[in-house]
Amino acid sequence: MLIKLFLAVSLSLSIASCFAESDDSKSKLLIEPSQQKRSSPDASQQKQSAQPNASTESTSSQSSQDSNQDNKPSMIEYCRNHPC
Amino acid sequence: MNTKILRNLAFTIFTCYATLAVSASPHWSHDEQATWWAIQDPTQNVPLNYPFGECGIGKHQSPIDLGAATINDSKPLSKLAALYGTDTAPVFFNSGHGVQVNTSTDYKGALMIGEESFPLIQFHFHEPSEHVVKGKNFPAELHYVHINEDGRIIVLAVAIDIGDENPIFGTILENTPHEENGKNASAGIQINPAQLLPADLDPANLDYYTIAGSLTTPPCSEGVQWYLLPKVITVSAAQLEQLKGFYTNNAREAKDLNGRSLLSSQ
Ligand SMILES: [Zn+2]
Repeated sequence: MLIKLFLAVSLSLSIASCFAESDDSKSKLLIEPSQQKRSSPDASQQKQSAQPNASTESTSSQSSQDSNQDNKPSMIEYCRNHPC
Repeated sequence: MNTKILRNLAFTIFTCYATLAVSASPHWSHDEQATWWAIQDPTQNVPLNYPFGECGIGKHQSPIDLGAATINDSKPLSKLAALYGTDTAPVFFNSGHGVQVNTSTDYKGALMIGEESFPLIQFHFHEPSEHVVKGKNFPAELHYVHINEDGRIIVLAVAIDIGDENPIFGTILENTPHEENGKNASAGIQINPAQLLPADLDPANLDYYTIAGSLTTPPCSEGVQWYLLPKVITVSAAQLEQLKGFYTNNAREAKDLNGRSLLSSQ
């Protein structure tokens, strides 16, 4: 009886340690998802949907231009103004 | 009262000058290319006060002498495709160093290297060519500049020889402003940059040479991958003279290979 109990306890402990180990063996991310700045896939759709409304057109296109500039590497702007 | 006005005027002039000094990068010309590395920006501290230092100390500089390079054609290379459509609003730009065409911001044309896409940002001309073969240059050279989202720069180079007149080259020359830094964004002219590619090459599957290099103008940044087409294009002698009317000798001299070899797709 005692042997059975011992086996049951040791089995459950080893299973628990297995799970604990599988958690630890995961490689750490270089950049955690919370630290990642992703480009929004629907940015171009927002720009299109802003077009029909004439009264807000100028402000909408201005803000989407700004966000585009934020995402673009400055080298693009540099090479538009220099031979490269 | 007069003293106050004078003091305000002096302050305004100083502020304008200081702003200019900070925002403008140092002036350079092709005539002084041997000492680009030594041009100083007194508004910056060490080592940023030598903004073009890489021109002097870089080991993977462009252009090169293609005749001096060992060509390796045994390495499997990616497929190269110049998928340039028509740009409906190109900007004709006199860069102060050459004739340049900037593609419009919503232009979709790109160079495909394997599965990777590199949007075409601008293309420009050098007279004579920058790349040479055994010390001999071509009359001119065309550079297509591509930059992708992560900032990598790819330049596709095409040598230009004298021969048949080139209609699209003529259109570019006619619409480029003659004043330095002049931009002509409202020409109402459509340009397909693919029309400048050699007619006997398939733009969707280009043969090429490739080598690691740099920008050929200050700041001579390295990390630029060069693709050179094995065939040349032509412009007429009159068109070359017209190009020289903008800028002449705007080519950098060939730089040391420093162990680099030229990979060939053919
Ligand atoms: Zn160039």
